[in-house]
Amino acid sequence: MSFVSVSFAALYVVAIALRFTAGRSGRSTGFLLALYGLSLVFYGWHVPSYLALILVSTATDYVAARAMEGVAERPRARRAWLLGSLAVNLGLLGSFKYAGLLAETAGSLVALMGFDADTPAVEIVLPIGLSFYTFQSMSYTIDVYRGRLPAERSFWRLGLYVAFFPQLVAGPIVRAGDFLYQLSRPRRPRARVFWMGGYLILRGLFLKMVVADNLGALVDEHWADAAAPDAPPLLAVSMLVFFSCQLFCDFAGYSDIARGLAYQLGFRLPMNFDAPYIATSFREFWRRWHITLSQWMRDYVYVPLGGNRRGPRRALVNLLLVMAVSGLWHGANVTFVLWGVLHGVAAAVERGFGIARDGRALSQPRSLLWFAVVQIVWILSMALFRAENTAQAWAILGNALSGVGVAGAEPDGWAQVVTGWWFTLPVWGLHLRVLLGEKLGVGEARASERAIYAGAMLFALLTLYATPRGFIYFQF
Amino acid sequence: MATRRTRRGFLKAALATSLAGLSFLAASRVLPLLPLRHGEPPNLQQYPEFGDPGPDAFYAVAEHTELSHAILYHDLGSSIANARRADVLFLGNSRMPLGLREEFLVPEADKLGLRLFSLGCGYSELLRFPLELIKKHDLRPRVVVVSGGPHMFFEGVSSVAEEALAMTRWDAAKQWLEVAASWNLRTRLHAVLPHLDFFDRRLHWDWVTYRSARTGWWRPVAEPRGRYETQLAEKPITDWSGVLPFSEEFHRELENRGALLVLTLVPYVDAQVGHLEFLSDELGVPAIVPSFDGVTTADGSHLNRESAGTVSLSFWETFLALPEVRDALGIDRAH
Repeated sequence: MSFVSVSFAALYVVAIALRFTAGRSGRSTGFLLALYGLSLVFYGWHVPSYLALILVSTATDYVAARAMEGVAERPRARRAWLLGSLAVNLGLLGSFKYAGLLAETAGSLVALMGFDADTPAVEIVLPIGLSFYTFQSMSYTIDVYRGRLPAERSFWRLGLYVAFFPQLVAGPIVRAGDFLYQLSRPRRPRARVFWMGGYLILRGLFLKMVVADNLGALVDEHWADAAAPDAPPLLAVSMLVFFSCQLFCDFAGYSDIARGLAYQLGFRLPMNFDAPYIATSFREFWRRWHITLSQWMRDYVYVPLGGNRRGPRRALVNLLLVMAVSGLWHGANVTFVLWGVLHGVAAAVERGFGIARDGRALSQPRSLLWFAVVQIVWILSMALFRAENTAQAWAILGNALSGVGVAGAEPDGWAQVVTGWWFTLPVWGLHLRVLLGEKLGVGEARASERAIYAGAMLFALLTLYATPRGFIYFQF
Repeated sequence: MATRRTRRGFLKAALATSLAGLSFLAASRVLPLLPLRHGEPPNLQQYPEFGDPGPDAFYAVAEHTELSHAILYHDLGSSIANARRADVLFLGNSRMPLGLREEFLVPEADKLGLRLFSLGCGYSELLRFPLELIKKHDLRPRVVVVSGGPHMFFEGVSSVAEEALAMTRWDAAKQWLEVAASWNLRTRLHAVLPHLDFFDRRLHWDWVTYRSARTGWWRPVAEPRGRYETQLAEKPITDWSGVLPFSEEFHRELENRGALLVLTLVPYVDAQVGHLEFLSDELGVPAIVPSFDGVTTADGSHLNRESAGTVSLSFWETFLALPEVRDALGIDRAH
């Protein structure tokens, strides 16, 4: 179920009605159970039979965590339970998300060895949000294994943590330690929190339906043209910038809506985006972009690989590995792996040459220069993120880097592309506001400032929306 | 103390609401004037007031959306139940239900106690899709009228039909719910607040068509009012053998179901009619070739209401005069 749908609106009306009746006093088991039920409806709306997946994933981690507590004194048994749980979760992820890639790769290898083998086409409808909730579910078991979290006694409470509908299909990836305790805390509805939630929902819808969907329509229409031989460089650059803005607004918009919904229902979800396009280093970029995934990768992949503890060289290799895994997490496609590796190399270069280490203030011009490098690398990497295959990515990159200007005749629809640049303004405005706050000490937006934004965004939402398209991160 | 706090909270909320309202008003004044559409302000797209499609009709076609395929294929609503009771099925693409219109044909059929049902679908649909509908839902009409140009008799389905065939019933029901609800919401919203189009992506409400679940016919609630002449193709094709393989399969299936096939066509611009005579001879079925004299379309492809009336009534008269049709429908010769 998408947030931008009539069916979701109906489901949410029910959820809010429950919040102000059964859930009014807080600590209401009935309200929480109803939320779990609604979350399962939300998930099953896509393909009802896939409910089995999320229930299997939850049940596995519930049983494994309880069992690990039961064998607290036997490290081997604890490890076995952990591995079993990881195997089930990664098995689900692998079968649904990577089966096609594995079959394709196996077919290519067989062909390389000179055998003539037909690779069976693997076409499976990907369960939405699979990557998000399996990561969330795995983090719970790992935290219990590490002794950072007691095993949850109640199955449905753990189930609500995994399936909580605002963040179920595209994050933020919430840690059990940050969520489960909220189920016991009194959550009385407060007008201020409710309006703040409403503001976040409105901002998210604006970013998604006005900015991301309008830019997305342009990108869909002109992306292939931008990859054509001799396409004007400005067209290729426009597509890369538009897609980077689309991706940000699509995903940050989703995260805003998720946080807003959670607020209104009495929960707090972590921030997932913090103006990544003002980052002056790669390290900072990943602290601002998809924050919860970056933190997950750090805690559950980078640190277990040894992190920085095994010397600087190993740290760089670990960084590269983490980014490659992060790329693969996005999708079973070589382009995503290359995208991850590219950012891994960039981050490794930055760290290896000590360009942007913590605690070392960069001089202003150097900082500006590295800021430009970071942002240009990000925009160029969009070619890999959006392209259907590597050939198309290289073609767009080649065109973008081949010069400046609209060479020859203006391409078809060029006037629309020019108009598209105006639709990137909200992205720059949003980042500028954060920059002013961080660098010039301008405080966070007050209620009056938010009210002014809200009025304008509401009008734009009602009159400037484009044909709805699915959230990009649903496919991950 | 509590009262003072409450009053302060109320004042703050009132101030924020006022500011939001002022900002909304300011945006509504400024945005429609911004010359961002290659130096021009945006197109202001306001929906007109649409006609009433009737209580048995559902939203079917507008803005590049066609719901009929999935609704019919997955048997949602009561359409297929009504199709099962039909004596005569009409098949064709969008030209058929807009050229042989319900408002002219159904009252005539009612006089004879005949039930008509249209399985026509838009998007240049071919005959394979309705054939699949007939087989899947085991439809057994007494007569099947196929109205269409030669392309309809080739193998294949439209992209919309392809999607409908690949969908589950659950997906089809969700699509129907979402698209219809979104349409209802937007028509109400943009009746008061225009959609601002900076990209020349005009909303296509030239034709807005509902579909009757009772008769299966499209019911336009908005239609263009153009007058474009129809005519036969200047260079008629002479070799029609390409249309035969699928037509034979189609005809065989109808024969197995005991249905009589009748071929016809709704006039359009540059129309080929040679396939009708060819198939009539090859398959041994009647064909009705319409007159193109004075027949005009509303948009270059679909007949306007006036011409549709002429063509529909003329078709019905010829159709009922065919002895095979009278036999199949059990109409007394003296009727």
